[in-house]
This record gives sequence, structure tokens and C-alpha cells, in this order.
Amino acid sequence: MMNQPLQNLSTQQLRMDSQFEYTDEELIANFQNGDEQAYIALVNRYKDRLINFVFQIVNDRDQAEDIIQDTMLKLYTHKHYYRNIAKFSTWIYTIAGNFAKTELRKKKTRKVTNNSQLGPEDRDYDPPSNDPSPEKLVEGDYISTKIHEAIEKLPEHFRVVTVLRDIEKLPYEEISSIVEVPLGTVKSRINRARLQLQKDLKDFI
Amino acid sequence: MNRYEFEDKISDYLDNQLSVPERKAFEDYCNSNNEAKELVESIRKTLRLIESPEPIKASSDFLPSLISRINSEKKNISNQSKQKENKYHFFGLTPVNATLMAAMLVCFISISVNLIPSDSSNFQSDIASNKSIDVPTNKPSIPDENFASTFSDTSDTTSTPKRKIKLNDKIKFVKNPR
Repeated sequence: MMNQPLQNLSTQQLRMDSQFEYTDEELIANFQNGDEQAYIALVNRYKDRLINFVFQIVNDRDQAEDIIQDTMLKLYTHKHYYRNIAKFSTWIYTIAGNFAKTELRKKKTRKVTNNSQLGPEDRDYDPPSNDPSPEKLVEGDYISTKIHEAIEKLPEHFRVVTVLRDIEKLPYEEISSIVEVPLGTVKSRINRARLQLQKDLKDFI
Repeated sequence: MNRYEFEDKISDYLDNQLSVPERKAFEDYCNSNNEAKELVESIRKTLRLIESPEPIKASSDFLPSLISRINSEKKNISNQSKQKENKYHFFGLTPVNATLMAAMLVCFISISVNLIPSDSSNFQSDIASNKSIDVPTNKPSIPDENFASTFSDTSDTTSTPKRKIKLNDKIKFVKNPR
């Protein structure tokens, strides 16, 4: 079953295979040797974690899912770029993080362009409020929204390290490898981001 | 420990990254400063709050749509490689084979040219240098006064006798009047 072509795999089989207790590095090595089942197992293992991570950066669920699709596609097409000198999780988080940052920059450019293209009469236009709709005012949703807003308010380089540490629970050393900055800088960024989040969310704790 | 040192070490304290003496110094500072103690507690609660929302999960069609994207990507790659192959083919040959074929063709032509008999050119060059040329004759030669001596010769008589032509007598070069 391990060497079945990708299109012949049933959902049931995919679920079963993701339960195999291979390490990430063993799975990627198998995939590099042509075992597409190992690829599916890796996708199943990482898709939710990565969507969660990217969602905190781009704050858009559909966009987060698209970014992770791109990440997984890149994993498929560039499998031989992975060398067994780093952890697989570091490599895949780096790819996803880079895609997310690129998307964030595109978003910012679009925003700037749209504002600069407004005519004088458009400037008086009151954009729709970002306040939650009545349906979203259910407490849990409201707090979640506020948390996402607080995270989104953080500068990009603070946001990425905070999400990796406080939501994804990755060790400092791995975060340092993912964002390619020294360990001390990572610690300092996380500390400052936490202080900022505490200020923004103190009404909800 | 001052306020700045305290703020720098909050995360390390919460993540258990401080050494025992550092931890002791940090806790002493917190115990002596109520505001600092509240700040640490507040950050701890903030971290719990951030962890609390339900983690987002991939939609049910994530995997099928990824597989279909991979399959279409595979088709694109194979089409592109086919196009590349066609682009770099000359009359159905790869560049290496086409070069070899061209070289072989040039060799064949040059060898063929060298194999063509070049008598006519030799003849002309001999004329120019005033040499006597042996012209084979198919007609039987007319016996002359030296005919008897031919029989007395020990040489091969089966071969066709050759006439010696003195070109000096027959060809006159026209001098340029100027």
C-alpha cells in the first residue's frame, strides 16, 4: 500500500496512514525515495498546525488554507531541497512562514494602493465598522476576535515568534532557526510581544 | 535587580529558562514589588488566554483539493518537459545527435570529393610544364622502321605500345603582342 499512486488513496487509508509512528525525518526520507504515502502522512500531521500558525499571521481562514496548500505543494515539488541537517518541522514552518509574510506584504500593498486611489468625495465615505456583528457577540467568539486583533496589531517580526512560541509551542532554538535570527533576539522579541499583548488584552483576563 | 532587568526576564521566568540564583533574584524582586508581581501574573493569564481559542482545523476538502492540484501540477510539468524536448530537437534529433550527423555528412562529402579521379587536372598541369605525356592508344600502331627492333626486344609485347608525343612541336603559346 505504501507505494500506491496518489489518486488511488481513499480518505480512510489516508487517515490510517497518518497514524503510523514514523518520525517526520523518516517520512520525508521515504517520500524522497518515491513513497507518496509518506507525503500524505506528513500533510495529515502538519496541515492543522500550519493553518493555525498562518491564520494568526494573516487573520483570514481561507487565505491561511490557501497558503498551506501552496506550502504542501512546494513540499511535493521541492522534496529534494530538504536536507537532513535540520528538523523537518523547522523546514516546513519556514516555508509556510515565508508564504504568509509574502501574502501579508501583498495585502499591505493592496491597502496602500486602494487608499491612494480614493477620490476627494470617496474620502468622506465611512468604511464599514470592524466591530463584531450581533451574531459574533457571543462571548467566546468575541474574545477570540480580540485575541486575533491583538496578535495582528503586533509588528510582523514579533507576531511570528509569538505565534510559534505561545500557540505552536515550539522551542526557542527551533524558532531561532525558522526566523533565522539569534536566540537572544528571539527571546527579546517574545518578551516584548508578551508585554504588548498583556496591555492589549488586560480587559479580558 | 532593577525594573528593566525584571522586564527582560519575565519570559525567561515563565518559560523556566532562568538559573536557580536568577530565579531567586527575580522572585525576590516580585515579592518586594506588588506591581511587578501583578504584571507577571497578568502575562501568565494572557498566555493562557491566547492558548484557549479552539485551534483552527483544515476543511474537509483540503486533502482532495491538494491532491487534484498536485495532479494538475504533474501534468503541467510533463507538458512543459515535452515542449522543452520538442523545442530543442532538430529534425527529430537531439542537439548532440544532430551535431554528430552533420559532422558525419561533412566527412562523407569530403571523402567522396577526394575519391573522384583527378586525371584531367593532372593533364592540364603537365601541359603547362611542357612535359611529355604518355597517351594510351586503342588503335594498333603502324609498323615503322623500328618495328623489327620491337620483336628483338625482350620486353612484354602483349601490352599496347604507347606513342610518345612531343608537345613542344604541336602546341605553340601565343605571345601577348604587347
